[in-house]
Amino acid sequence: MSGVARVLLFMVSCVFTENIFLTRLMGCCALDESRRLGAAAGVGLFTALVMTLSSAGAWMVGRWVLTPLDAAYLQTPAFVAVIILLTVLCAALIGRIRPALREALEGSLTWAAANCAVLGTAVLNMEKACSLGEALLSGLFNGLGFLLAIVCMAGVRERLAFSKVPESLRGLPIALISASLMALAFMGFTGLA
Amino acid sequence: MRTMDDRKHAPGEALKYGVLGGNPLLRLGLGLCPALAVTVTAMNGLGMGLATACVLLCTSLTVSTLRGLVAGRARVPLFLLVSAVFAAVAQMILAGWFPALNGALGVFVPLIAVNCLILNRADEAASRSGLMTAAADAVGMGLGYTAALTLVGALRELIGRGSVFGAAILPSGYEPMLLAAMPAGGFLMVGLLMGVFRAVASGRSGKKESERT
Repeated sequence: MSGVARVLLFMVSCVFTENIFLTRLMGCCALDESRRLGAAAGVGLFTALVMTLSSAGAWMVGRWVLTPLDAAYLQTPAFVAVIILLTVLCAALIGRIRPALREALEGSLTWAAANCAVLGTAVLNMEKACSLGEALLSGLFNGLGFLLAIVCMAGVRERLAFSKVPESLRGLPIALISASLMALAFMGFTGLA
Repeated sequence: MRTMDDRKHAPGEALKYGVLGGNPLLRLGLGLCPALAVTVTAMNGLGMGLATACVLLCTSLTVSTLRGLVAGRARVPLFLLVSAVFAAVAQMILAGWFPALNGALGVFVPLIAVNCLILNRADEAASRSGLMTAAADAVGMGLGYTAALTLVGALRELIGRGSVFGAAILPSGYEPMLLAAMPAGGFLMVGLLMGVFRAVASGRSGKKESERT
């Protein structure tokens, strides 16, 4: 198989068949952020950016620092530190370029750095023993998958705001039940890649 | 919501609040990811809940000890790093003594480090209170989380495999409903249980809870 085809297959697998949110169930805490389409797209894009960079960053730290030192037991704290650093850097950079977004980025540490999809992707990359390029691509594609899922969920929730939901299911419970249907729909992609 | 009332400062009250009225998963919606992902069996739920509870207790005690030293924007990174260190310890303990459970929980063991429950309790409770209060809050929340994960796991195992904790409960003619063991089943089960808990709570207190989301 040619290189391009392999990259495309990998993308389909990360975004659709193995969607990090709907089939691996990582980053679900962001479900509460996804009430408006615009906000969800912002959170998703920023998370995808951090995920791409931190996948590569965590790979470098893991392979070039922790493995030679025989300190694999430090992997979790080291990866968390890398992710925090990159989140702060990205937020500062974007805040510099687009001052209008600075306020929205203030809380980014809690929802981007503490998003388990970011750390989960980095840890899974190490378990798969992939190359640096594969780690970077896996961060990018999983980030896109997360963006797709959270934007879809926000679309559903915008509609839900106008529907009559039973009293005790309003808010998070009905969002979870909708996510369940979305996850069922994504199972239709099984076998695609 | 997600703040502490004064009445929860007594240790006994904190325990009861964590397990029932303020159950972190089913009432506050904290720590969703592991609750959805690993709770395919009751044993997984129990193991994940206990591991998270231990990391939560250690993190809360450390954060409570260090309170006053760090404030403002540096505090979230600190909380995350502290819980990452304890999550790494939990991973080593699980890998050493409970290899089967560690294999079943997989990548979600290191992910305890970024569990929103731990971050939320460190920020809302531990960084604002003394050691005893922080410990009571952490134990109550940890037990409540463990109970909730075990409940979700037991129900999913019962429906998806006809057994609880590996012991067959339903008659052998029962056709397992695969949906319960799949990601979609996790979302559905947690969503429905949350609704049930909220309905019971609002029935007991007799007031509307629709503003809680």
